[in-house]
Amino acid sequence: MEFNANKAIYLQIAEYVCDHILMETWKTNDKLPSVRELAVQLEVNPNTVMRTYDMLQQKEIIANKRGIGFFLTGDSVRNVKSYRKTVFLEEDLPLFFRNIYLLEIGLTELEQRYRQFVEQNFN
Amino acid sequence: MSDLFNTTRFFALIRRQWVGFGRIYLMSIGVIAGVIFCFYAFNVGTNYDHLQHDFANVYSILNFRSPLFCVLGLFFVTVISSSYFADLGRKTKAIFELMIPASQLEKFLVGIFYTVIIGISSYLLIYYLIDLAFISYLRGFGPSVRTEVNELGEQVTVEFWQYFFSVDYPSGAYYACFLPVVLNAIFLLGGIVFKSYQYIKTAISLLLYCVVWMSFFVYLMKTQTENTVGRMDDNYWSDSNHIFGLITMTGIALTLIFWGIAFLRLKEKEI
Amino acid sequence: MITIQNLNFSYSKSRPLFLQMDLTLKQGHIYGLLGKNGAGKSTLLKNIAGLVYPVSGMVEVLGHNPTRREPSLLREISFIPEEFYLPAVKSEQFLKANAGFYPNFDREHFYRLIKEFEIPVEQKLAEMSYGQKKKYIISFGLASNTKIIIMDEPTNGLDIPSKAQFRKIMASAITDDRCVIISTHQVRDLDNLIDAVILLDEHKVALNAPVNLITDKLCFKKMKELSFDVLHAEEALGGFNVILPNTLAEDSKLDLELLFNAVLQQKEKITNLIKVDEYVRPV
Repeated sequence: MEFNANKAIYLQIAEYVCDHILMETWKTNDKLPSVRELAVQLEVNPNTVMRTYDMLQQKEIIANKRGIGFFLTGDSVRNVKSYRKTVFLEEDLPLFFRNIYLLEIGLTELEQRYRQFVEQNFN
Repeated sequence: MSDLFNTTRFFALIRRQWVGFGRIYLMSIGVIAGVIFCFYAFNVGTNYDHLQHDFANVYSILNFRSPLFCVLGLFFVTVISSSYFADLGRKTKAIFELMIPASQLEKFLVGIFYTVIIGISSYLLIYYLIDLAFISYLRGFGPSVRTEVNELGEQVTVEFWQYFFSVDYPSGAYYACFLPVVLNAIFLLGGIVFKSYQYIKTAISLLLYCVVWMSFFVYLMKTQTENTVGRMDDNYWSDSNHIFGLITMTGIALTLIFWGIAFLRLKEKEI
Repeated sequence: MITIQNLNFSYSKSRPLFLQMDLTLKQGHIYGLLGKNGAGKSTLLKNIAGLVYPVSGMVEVLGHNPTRREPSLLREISFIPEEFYLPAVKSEQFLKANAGFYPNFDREHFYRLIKEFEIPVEQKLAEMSYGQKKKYIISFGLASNTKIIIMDEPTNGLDIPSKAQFRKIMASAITDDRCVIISTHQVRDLDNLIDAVILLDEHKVALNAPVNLITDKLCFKKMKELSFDVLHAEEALGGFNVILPNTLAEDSKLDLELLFNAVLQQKEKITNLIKVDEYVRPV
């Protein structure tokens, strides 16, 4: 996995896990890779992965079954989405706003393009 | 497990050291065997005609044996002694040697085991075997005993073509047995102290040291005995064996001292 | 696990290397040891391993004084030097001679590592390439299952795939009762692997802190223009790489090179922010 230079590694690993959940390569009630397995796979310190898992657990995206490992819960997908939404609203949207403001793209033009995009990609 | 000495670890270390030291040891003993063989072969070969015709009277061709035995033996002992710890002079090897989980005492004793016990006994064995082979061969030329009549008119059998190890040595010779061991101690120490060219440096240091002491003693004797007359009393020191004994005791003491210093230097070797 | 107090060390009287150095290392971490050339990285490692004698001060490793070189300590240390020597024997013979000294040596694990590193075991060790030898002793060291693993520039001489293998192997090597110390110049090789940084400068430990503490206190980012509170900045493509006090509690990624340069240039400013003392002193 290529890490980008500016974002904290544990957050990038969280993104990685969330991607797998949203793409359903990991499904509800599946066991996640152990801390060590994921650390080896991503070539990072296990303590970093542990930090990721702790955070995801707090956000109730994953759950720890004592002595067995980390699992996806029934709420995983919903919680990932709400987590992603927060990240998007806090980090990506301001950037986006900044650009449309600077480039003087009107909201009507934006709305029109948005509808077009949804039609092309999701119908 | 004791941090000082443990038998299992000691034997494991003997096995381990063979991997590195065995090669040097086998090469040295091979060369030594070759040299001994050549000396015998050369002396027998050049006198081959005499052996055929004048068999009983040429046993002086074996006169080289004692000096060869001594010189070669001391050389062999010093070479393997100074090379045993030579690895410590090379950083890359030394780290590995020092970090091996065995006590410093065990490491030192394995060094003694290889250079003294294995070194000296294998030299004796090799020399003995080569001598045995050649002498047996020579004895094949004819009878090796003859009968003579001594001054009292008794018949005695004289054995010539004697095996080197069955020759009667002068009693003083046995007092020199400490020599290989003290040299072992000195060259072990040299191997630990010097970082490169251990053998040459140790040999030169030893030589300088001996020269200094000898000059000192000569000077001392000279100032003490000048204008005096020697008197042969029947005192303790007039028996040369007692003097030899004293030298041997000094030699043994020196051996222990040098071993002690070598052990301490090994223990505190820094990289 | 490792405690160093008031360590003074020098190779010659006129040129002291360490002056009153203090350092505490705990288990369960991979420490990255950084410092300029000649700052004494290798020497610090040798002090820990007991290969050199301090002038004064205390070095304690697992409750032992390492200069006593007791077998009970030596069997808990794997020291992987930058330059090393392997004898002209095959792997099996090497194992037979050496593995027995490490009571926890795990042969199965060793074979797995050898396989992962793709080291051919049929040839004599002395005939291997530098990189293969290095991977071999790393494998031997890790399979010894010692509590302390000391590595001096382990990625030097490794090719690109080997470096990735090395990172994977190290990620699996760290356990809660182990302490790994890796000295390196090539910070990029180990960026995500280390979770604590030790920085040597001016005869002392300039910084010893876990990575998450550093990123709690400092923010590493790219800026188009420098703001007033920038602690350290380096020009980069299209702006500056900067270190700021992390007042907004942002989660940024530690940039070791940037931190390294910042500490060398303005130690006080940086280290005061990262309250090193809380971490360095045993509680």
